Amino acid sequence: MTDTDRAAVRTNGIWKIFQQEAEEIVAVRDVSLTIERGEFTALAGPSGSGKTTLLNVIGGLTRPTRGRAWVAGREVSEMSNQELARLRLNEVGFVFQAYNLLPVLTAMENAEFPMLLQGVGSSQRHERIRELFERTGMAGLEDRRPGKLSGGQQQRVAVIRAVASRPALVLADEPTANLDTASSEALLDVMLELNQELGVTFVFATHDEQVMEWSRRLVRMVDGAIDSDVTRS
Amino acid sequence: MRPRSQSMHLAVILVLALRNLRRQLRRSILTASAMIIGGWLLLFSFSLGDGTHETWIDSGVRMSGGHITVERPEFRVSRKIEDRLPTDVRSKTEQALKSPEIAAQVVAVSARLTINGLASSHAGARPAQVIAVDPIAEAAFSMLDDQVVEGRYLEPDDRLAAYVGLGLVQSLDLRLGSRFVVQAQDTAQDISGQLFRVVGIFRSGIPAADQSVIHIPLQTGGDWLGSDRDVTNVGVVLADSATVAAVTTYLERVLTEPIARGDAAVMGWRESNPALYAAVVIDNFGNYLLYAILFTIIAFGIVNTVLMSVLHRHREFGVLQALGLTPGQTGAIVLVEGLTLTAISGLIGVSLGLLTTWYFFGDGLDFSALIGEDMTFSGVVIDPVIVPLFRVSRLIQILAFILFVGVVASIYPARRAATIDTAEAMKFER
Amino acid sequence: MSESPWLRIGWRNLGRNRKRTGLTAIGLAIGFGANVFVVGWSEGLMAEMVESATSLVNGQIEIHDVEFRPERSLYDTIGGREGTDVEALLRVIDGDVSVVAAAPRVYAGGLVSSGEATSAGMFMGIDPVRELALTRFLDQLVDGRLPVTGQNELLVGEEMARQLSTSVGDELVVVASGADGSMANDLYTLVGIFRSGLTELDATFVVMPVGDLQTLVVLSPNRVHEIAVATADPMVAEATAARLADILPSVDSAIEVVPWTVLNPVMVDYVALADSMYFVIILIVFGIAIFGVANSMLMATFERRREFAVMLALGATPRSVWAVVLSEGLAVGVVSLVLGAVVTFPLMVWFHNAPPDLSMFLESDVTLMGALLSPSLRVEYDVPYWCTCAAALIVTALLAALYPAMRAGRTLPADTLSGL
Repeated sequence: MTDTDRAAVRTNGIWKIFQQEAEEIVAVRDVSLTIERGEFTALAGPSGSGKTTLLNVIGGLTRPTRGRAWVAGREVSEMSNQELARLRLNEVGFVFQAYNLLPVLTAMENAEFPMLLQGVGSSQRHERIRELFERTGMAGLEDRRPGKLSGGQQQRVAVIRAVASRPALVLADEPTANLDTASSEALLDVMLELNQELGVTFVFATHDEQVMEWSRRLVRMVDGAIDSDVTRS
Repeated sequence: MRPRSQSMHLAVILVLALRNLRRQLRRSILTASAMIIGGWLLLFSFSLGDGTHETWIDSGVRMSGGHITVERPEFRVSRKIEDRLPTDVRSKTEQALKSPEIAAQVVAVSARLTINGLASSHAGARPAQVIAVDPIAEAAFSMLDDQVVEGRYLEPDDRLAAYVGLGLVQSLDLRLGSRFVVQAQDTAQDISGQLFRVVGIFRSGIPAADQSVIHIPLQTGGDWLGSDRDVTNVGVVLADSATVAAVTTYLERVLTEPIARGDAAVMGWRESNPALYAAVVIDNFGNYLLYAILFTIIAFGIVNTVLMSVLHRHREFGVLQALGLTPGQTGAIVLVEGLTLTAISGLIGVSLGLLTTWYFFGDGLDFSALIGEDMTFSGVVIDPVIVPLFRVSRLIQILAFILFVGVVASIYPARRAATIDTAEAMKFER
Repeated sequence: MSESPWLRIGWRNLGRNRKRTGLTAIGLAIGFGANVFVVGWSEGLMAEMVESATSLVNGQIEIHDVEFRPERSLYDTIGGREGTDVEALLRVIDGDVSVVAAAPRVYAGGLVSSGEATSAGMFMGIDPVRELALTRFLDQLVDGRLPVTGQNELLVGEEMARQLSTSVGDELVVVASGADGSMANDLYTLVGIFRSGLTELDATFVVMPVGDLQTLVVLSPNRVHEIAVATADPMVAEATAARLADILPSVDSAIEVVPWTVLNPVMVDYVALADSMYFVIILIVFGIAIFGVANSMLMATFERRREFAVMLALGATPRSVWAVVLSEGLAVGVVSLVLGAVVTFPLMVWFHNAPPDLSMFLESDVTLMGALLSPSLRVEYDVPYWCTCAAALIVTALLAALYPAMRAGRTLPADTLSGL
């Protein structure tokens, strides 16, 4: 049990089956996986290999058909919708391919949004955000709305948003897919720095070679199942 | 070649419009709902309004000279007994009203001698409007005979009998069987008095009538004032106020010669009872105002729905124009879309309105919980039971109005669709 | 950013599709303006009806001998057959704070003859100075001037003048029965013609100085039938009447003090009926408007379902999503209200102070409950009703946002965000 507690994520025989008309589509097939705190892991595989679905299960956005999953030691497969919302708020950060910032909020407001939901006081919020903006080279852009930021800048705001609430892990679904090589590299640089200096756990779903190169552990998925799991030193 | 391609285009346009409405079903239904309710309210409330007005007109004209009255032109202003109707005009009029062309429309005819007099008793004197009538004809014409509170209405054999309003009875401190005197100017221009006995007391709810009207037998009036069997006017009650113009024209043709001589005038109720007409106009105005407002709101809803669907389909319109549709045809798709939406929902609403009207056709709606017994508007007691009235002309008017709203609301979105820059629209993926 | 971000998000979202927000707001604003305006107009009619009923000829309060109504007999003067000190009564009445004017009146029925024609008339004896302060029908004569006491002068209505074919300066024979049973008969000069607009009145009323009429019908100067009283506002008539009833000096026969609300209960009912109709109008107008708002909100939330999915993914609860959508509804309401108010109130001020004249559409005067109405669109102000309308508008906007809010709250984040 202490083992589970230390791990950021632990899954045990996860299956996710979608019913499409009469046909059953197996998106995730018997996946058992443990991700320790502080890891920088990539889930790689072609599209349709089930990596996004696995990420959604881990993030509490969707329930597994079979199997169990724990995030920060708490079982997500049994949680109610309310509990899932709380889990996502406190333990999971998300970074999406399409950035998905709220267009009516400024960069600063977007970044502090989860902390606001957590009820973090304003001075503490601003301090944390300011520090993260500095660290990621975004200082001075706090009051811009997403429409006035480049793709790379928007994604950095999304990363700040995911990290600022101090989650147990950050799930990033193809975070670099909409970015050019230079921006991707800059973004990965930022994430790696956050991982090393603040100990943020990152899990990527990706088919970007660049991301795979940068990650410490590479889990390859084929047809919903784990094909290989390699940790580099 | 050309007409065929045009009709093909039209078919394409219709199909596209219908499919688009279906594609945004929820949106279409919400917009349609507003129109359905609007159309429903519109038809039903105008049926109620028209029904109410018909009742007002009917009771109003029965209290006064009828839907149509024939009298000497001077009589309306002078109210003098010497301005009474020549005997030949009266008989011609009565003859004409029996003729098959118009007899079906005529409900009641009453020839009356109407004069002003002073009624006095031991308690004092009051101005009175004395109407000398044929009891049988008048009972069919007026509603006063039904509004008896004590005693009875006049009967053919009555001589010195008087049927008096409750207000006047109270003012003169009379009761059933009391005697009182009425003084008035006779045909010899002398003041002449006549004794009457109260045989019946009525209460119409209209203060002016209850405080001044006295019905007496025509024969008695003639003997008293020296006018013999002459009358001052012939009143006609019709089945439907919509036939007033036709019957008036007919009577004017029959009476061409006396009218030219200045011995007769045929007057519709709008002329003879302008206060009543004004009441109908005012009430309609209130209705028109309310519906102008409601349909403006509905129109904005339609503009919003159609315009949004146009803005979301920028690329689609670009493609259509790239495929060879002219800007006009692109606009037409949108116009047809708006019109189809309006027409379908409008028709449903109006049908519901018709159904409701039809449902209340028999017994009417009883508003007596809301409306007191004695409410009057321009001298007409408001009847708390309203029977809706259906007129085809009103239905056509309403349908035309709804289509008009649909066209007006679709014009702006259609123009937007027609002025799309094809190249620009194709460039961006939404 | 404030502690509760929902209102801010809702508000800022409005600016994203200005055209749609504008169209939606115009619909609601028209609803608001229309309600305020139509009801203002209706209240204008009501106020005018009451005003006209109580100031054209009658006062807001009538004081009689208790026997006077309904017979209105010649003998039932205030204080009974002995009469009373009319001046003393008037002094007491004038002393009341709410009383603007009071005037004594004598009534008698009789005949007026021009030689050519004869008409039955209701004679009304007035104190010209006091009467002018009280009623309106003598303010503007069609022709001539007011009668002077002791000169055998009188006024008739326009309709009676027409029936008698008489004009100012003519001599008229007046016949009336006196209180002593005699038949009085005297010659008078027609010095003026009035027009009230009410046909019954213009055809039957004959106005002369109170002293002259008392002489004609053999009533002593201390015998009058009525003291009509005008108050500052018809609405204070009841309270004033109650107060007057307490302070009037007692006389031989009981006096009754009757406010117009008792003399004309139907009019009071009618005003109450009109009041209840206003809520039906609110219901209909906003009931129609709600569809437009709901539609627009539904489009707006559908377009943004991705954003709601993100919010939910970040840990916001469905309740927070409702808060965002409802805030947007609230914001639409506030914008509409401001828009409606900005357009409506100048219009109200205009229609209150310089109402357009409708007389060209009408061929006749209109009477309501026997009271004359002027053919104009004058509106009255009713602040509590405006507040009700404003509240109804906000409630409409919120209700319209309810369904879109629930749909937005049910957004499935995984499905909506999948693959992106």
